[in-house]
Amino acid sequence: MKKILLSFLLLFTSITFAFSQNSVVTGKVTDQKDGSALPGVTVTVKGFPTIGTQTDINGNYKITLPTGAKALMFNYIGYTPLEVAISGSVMNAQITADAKQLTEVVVVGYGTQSRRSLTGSISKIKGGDIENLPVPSLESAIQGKSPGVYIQAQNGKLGQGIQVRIRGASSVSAGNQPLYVVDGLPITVDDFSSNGASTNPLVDLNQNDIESIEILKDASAAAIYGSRASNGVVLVTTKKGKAGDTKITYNQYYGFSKPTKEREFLNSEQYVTLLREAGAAGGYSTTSVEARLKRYAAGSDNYKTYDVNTDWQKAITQKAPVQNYNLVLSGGSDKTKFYISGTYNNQKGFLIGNAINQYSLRTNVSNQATKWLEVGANLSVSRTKNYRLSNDDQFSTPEQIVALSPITPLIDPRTGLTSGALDLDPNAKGAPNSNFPVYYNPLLNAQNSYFNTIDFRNLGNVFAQVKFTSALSFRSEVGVDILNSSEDSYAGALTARNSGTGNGLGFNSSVTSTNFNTNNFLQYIQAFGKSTINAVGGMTFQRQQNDLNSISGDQFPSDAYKKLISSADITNASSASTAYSLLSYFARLNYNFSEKYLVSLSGRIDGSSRFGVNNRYGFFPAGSVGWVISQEDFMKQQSLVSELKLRASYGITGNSEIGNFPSRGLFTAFGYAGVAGARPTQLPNPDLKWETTAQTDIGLDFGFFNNRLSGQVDVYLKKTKDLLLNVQVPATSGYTTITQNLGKLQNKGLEIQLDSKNIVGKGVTWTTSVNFSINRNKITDLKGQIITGGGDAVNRAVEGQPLGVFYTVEFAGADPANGDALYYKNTDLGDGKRDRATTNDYNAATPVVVGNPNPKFIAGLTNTVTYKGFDFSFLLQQVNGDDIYNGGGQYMSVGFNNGADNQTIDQLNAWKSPGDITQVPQARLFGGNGVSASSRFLSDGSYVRLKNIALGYTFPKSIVSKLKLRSLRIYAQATNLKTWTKYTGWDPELNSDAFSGNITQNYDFYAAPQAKTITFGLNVGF
Amino acid sequence: MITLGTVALLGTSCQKQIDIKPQNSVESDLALKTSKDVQGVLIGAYTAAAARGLYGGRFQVTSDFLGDDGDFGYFGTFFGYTELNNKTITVDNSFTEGVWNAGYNTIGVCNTVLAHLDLVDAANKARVEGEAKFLRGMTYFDLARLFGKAWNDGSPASNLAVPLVLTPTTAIVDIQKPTRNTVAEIYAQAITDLKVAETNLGIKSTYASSAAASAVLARIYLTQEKYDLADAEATKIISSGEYALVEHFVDEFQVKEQATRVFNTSEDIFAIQISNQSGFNALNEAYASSTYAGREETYLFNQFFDSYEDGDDRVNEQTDDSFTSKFNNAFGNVVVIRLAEIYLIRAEARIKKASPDLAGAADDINVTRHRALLDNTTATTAEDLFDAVKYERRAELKFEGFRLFDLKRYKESTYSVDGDGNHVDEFVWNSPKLVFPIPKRERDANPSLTQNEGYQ
Repeated sequence: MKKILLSFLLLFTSITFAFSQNSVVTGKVTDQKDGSALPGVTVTVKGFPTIGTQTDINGNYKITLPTGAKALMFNYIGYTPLEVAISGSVMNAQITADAKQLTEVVVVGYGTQSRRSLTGSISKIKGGDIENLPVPSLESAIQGKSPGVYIQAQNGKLGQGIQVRIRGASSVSAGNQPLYVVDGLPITVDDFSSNGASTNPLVDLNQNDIESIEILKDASAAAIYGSRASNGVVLVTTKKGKAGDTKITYNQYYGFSKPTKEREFLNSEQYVTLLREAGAAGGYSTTSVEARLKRYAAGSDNYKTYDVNTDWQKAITQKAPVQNYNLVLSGGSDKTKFYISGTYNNQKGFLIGNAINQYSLRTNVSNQATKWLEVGANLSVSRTKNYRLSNDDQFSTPEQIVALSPITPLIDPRTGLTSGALDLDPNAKGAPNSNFPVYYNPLLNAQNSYFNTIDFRNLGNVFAQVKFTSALSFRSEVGVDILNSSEDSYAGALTARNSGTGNGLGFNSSVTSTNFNTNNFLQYIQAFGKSTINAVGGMTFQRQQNDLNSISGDQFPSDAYKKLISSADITNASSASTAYSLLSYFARLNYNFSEKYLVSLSGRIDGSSRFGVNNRYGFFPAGSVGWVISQEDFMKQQSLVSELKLRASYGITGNSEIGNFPSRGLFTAFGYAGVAGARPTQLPNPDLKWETTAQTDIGLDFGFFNNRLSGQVDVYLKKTKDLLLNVQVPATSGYTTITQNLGKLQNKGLEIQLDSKNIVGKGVTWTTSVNFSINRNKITDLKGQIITGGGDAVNRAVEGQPLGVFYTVEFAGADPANGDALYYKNTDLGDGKRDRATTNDYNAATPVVVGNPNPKFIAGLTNTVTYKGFDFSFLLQQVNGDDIYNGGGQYMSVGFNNGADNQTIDQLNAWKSPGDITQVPQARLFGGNGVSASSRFLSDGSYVRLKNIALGYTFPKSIVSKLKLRSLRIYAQATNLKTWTKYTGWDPELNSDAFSGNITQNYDFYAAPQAKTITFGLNVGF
Repeated sequence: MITLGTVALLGTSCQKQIDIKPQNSVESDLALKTSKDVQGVLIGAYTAAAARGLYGGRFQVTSDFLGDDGDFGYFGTFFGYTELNNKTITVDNSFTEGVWNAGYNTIGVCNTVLAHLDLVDAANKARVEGEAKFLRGMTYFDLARLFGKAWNDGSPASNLAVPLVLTPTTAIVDIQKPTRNTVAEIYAQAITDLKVAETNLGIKSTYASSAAASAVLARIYLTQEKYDLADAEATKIISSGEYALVEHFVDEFQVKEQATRVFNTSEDIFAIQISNQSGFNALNEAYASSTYAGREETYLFNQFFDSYEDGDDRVNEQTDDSFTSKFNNAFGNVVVIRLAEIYLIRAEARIKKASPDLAGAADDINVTRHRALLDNTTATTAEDLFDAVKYERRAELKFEGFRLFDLKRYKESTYSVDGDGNHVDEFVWNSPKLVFPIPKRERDANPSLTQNEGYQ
């Protein structure tokens, strides 16, 4: 394959040399509007249709004139053609954007392209649209802004993992997150969290440094990233300096955040009444129930009069200020350009003990060293400290505080300390209370422990671009992404009931992730009369190594000693190392005839260390065509349609996100009280390879009324085969799962993007942007097996169903006769019908598909209005038709049938006497009535959210210049200000951080609500 | 051309770079090359058996929760335990599934060791074989009595237990979908394995020993009502003189104040070795109060206290009148076989055998009674002595994974209880509800497995 590639490249080279030499003109083409260089402008000699060139990345061109040449023609899509008489050997040109043909440059894999010549499906988000949003990472910032991109934050803890699905999930067991590439470097996105709640390495990227985000969605756009492109590719381009005066911009904002919503629980009176009722129904004597209540009420009888009514959700909420300071210097000369930015971001979470604190610095520099050589570097360093919380499945996570009884006081009057901090029993010898309150009090964790993560991130690349001829250049990029993530934690003596040790528990870990990447490729851009060829070909190599170590110990002299140096007993210490590498060759050829007919072909060969020896290399080709109908002569006569382009693409992409050694047979060491042993842990699979996705996309780009109304419509079909599955095998083999290429799934969907300039006036402008997308996911072949997700295993991968469907027993309400939980038998009757009789025997009910966590559609609506100096915008985001399963329901919404946890308010409707018709079975203390997983805990998760709203005022030049400033803007904005939903839980945008995965989605388990943040800011230019 | 050359050069030098070997684990073809490697995998078999799902504690906990009739109640959030305690196991109960999975994982590792015996040097070969067969034999016996009907319930020759797998799986194509073998076949395999262990091993060891093999054989023979054989196996251990009861009952149970690595006592015949570095004591998790690092979810009821004779020291093995304190050291070993049980096996065998030795039985019973600060048993008849041995087993071995199997042997009922420990529903000894279901996950992966009665 390599050989073919080399001859392919050689072919390009020889074409260039085929031109005879004559007198030469050079020059630079810039935009009349702002003087910026325009790459890709076609320069031809009038009257000589076969002679032409294109400007390079800096807008420079060089053209050899034939004898008799009189004028040069400058053609650029979206710009008015310009004809200039030849007047010397240097001819700079300024061209003007044609309002009718307004276009933009889009970053694609290994290059850029004009929007008009694109044949693939790419969504672009401009940096300006995500600036100053007080959200922890860039995925949150782009939520609701692009069709086909479904973004779901896990929960309201700061810096948590975020789920991004581009055109649906393409895998059951392998990764479903897109590939992130920053300035050409595929970055590290591994989650190095040790506490069971994932963290998000993308928080290390500063949103304000981002020039644009391009989301490559179809195979034509993404296949050049080969075996990692099935989930789409997100290209992040950082800001670069522009020639001209040095601009200094200072920005700061300040604000605060709150939870979007709280869940409603029983108050004291309701709690005491229902617990008594449940105790009696559960067969408990009055004496034992009253003793229980008295214990929860800190030994006081005041529960009888409901004197104490603790709102535990308030107790875990803290004041949450947000502040961000950002200083940017940018500018440069024709030769050297720079962009320097420094940011300090300090954000407290609304959950007690949660905060994030970040410094970052970026320097992007480029230099035109000689006429033929440009060099540069893009470097960023950052330090992010995250004050973290336990995962959702821990008694110590703040939101689990809702399990505590409202009759329990915040401060135990017997001790004057936080409830649970001290056991009064003299035998306890000052230890914390082990059976009061009813569960471990998470406030003790907030007061007596910490778990901090510090990330040092160094993301940088250097590049050199060599211009051999005006058409042919070579670019080499070498980059590293070094992430050092360390965790440090200490749990004090008072957390003993949670940590299991009464003399302190320390933990420390460190991960160094070194991700090296190099891209080396040739670019060839040449026009031949009406034809233009834009070709790219080269190689790339990436190697990522993670070196990890961790240590934990207990037995500290006191809580004053918090570092492991003071631990008398090191209970665990470990170091580990893992790596993968990817060696690839790629090429792409774009052919453009007369701006009307567009063809693009690309291919990539990926060799991956992850796959079996029998399948080490994969080939990922793609092709696409475009027809710009609006450029046809027959369209020139009308003015209604200003732009019309039909696109079609097909290609193959892969997915290799499955861990580093899934193909190898492995033995793993285990210690046995100081003696070393090993045992087999994984069966070999030398045939293991990437998952393959074949995607077809048909799209239409359109513009009406001089592009006042424009948009895109895409339909796609993504078929994935050879799924990398953790296949369940009989445990009698000694293994329970193995990784195999087995099974198929598909995603098909529709995406619509509409942009309208409603008012284009001198004083007032109003634009509206709408996006709408539908994705239908379906697992078409799993060889009959059912794969369960984490949590209660109610989320499943089932053949014929979308990934993650809720597959469990169907709840049928309370038996009016005795209050038992009833379930539909749903026994398959063989004729497509199911037995709809009910039973109170959970085992007699057959599980069926009861819900779907995937939305029916998602949508976003942005409106921006400017009036004189004022600007106002808002973004409404909608998710519709998804279901949410409350995994915590088995504890909080079961009428004390699974313990004395405080109950949600709906439990007041529990069955009480024969004849009652209700959906809530009888409350029976520890009775197990209705606690098993069933559709009882399922509800609609649809929501519409005012995701962002902003109001700003830009001071007029007259005032600004008096203040000796370049610009001045003040603004206020809010995120998640208002949510409309029927979901009765905390917040409908959720994924339990303890259980979420490909299959377990929309599974609520004490997931903290999202943050509602209001900020006020100032932006000054000097 | 220079550029192209560079590209090509980078290409060739990188070819090697995409063959990256794992470092945290070792590839299978490098893992079993020497005698030492096989012996390492034998230790690996102990770590598999020590998993919390099996002898790390959940074998004992699951059977005791199912057998209990109100000595204790479970008030916790592990719904799988609640189901067991209520005797309403569902086919996807994660704890019963965990026992199955951990059991077959252990068997698989033992099979790996046994398939590579030819690599083991002569000095160690017999021992390695014996230890692997001990673990495999004991595991098969325990899986058979959890997932199959009791030996005395109908015909063991036709009642189904679990599949018999005696060779390791080393490649995907080797994965079998076996059917269930009969109770008699599994018991027979267990006896065969344990006899090899008994022959090949020394009398005492931190690992498997001939005494441990004799003990499990004694358990099996007692279950099969082969009392002479049970008596003989128990006697081998007792008369070896290598084991002795510790002086006080409490000394057998390692408390928290002790070090984080505790070695076997003189009474321990086989124990899963746990330290703060490795292993997990699932008995501590299930039974201990949170002061002692447990989940504090299993509370003692009055019946527990009422079940002891006045003056029995064993009633004092509790914390706060609410929790058993047998497992208060989270880093303590999980004792699987100890000498006190062997005396009681022999006592029962001596009473029941064809030519009973009632005086000998009384002597054996008195061994554990004396240690519990009780006087000699007053029983003299076979019937009274049988009651006395039943009392001793209950008082001595509570929470150690015996109750369910004792009930089945004695054909006695158990009961589900309400929140105060009062009996609710009776479950006769051979109720299908007292047999674990074949896990749903396993049947999904292997449709040739039939389900047990009561779970279809």
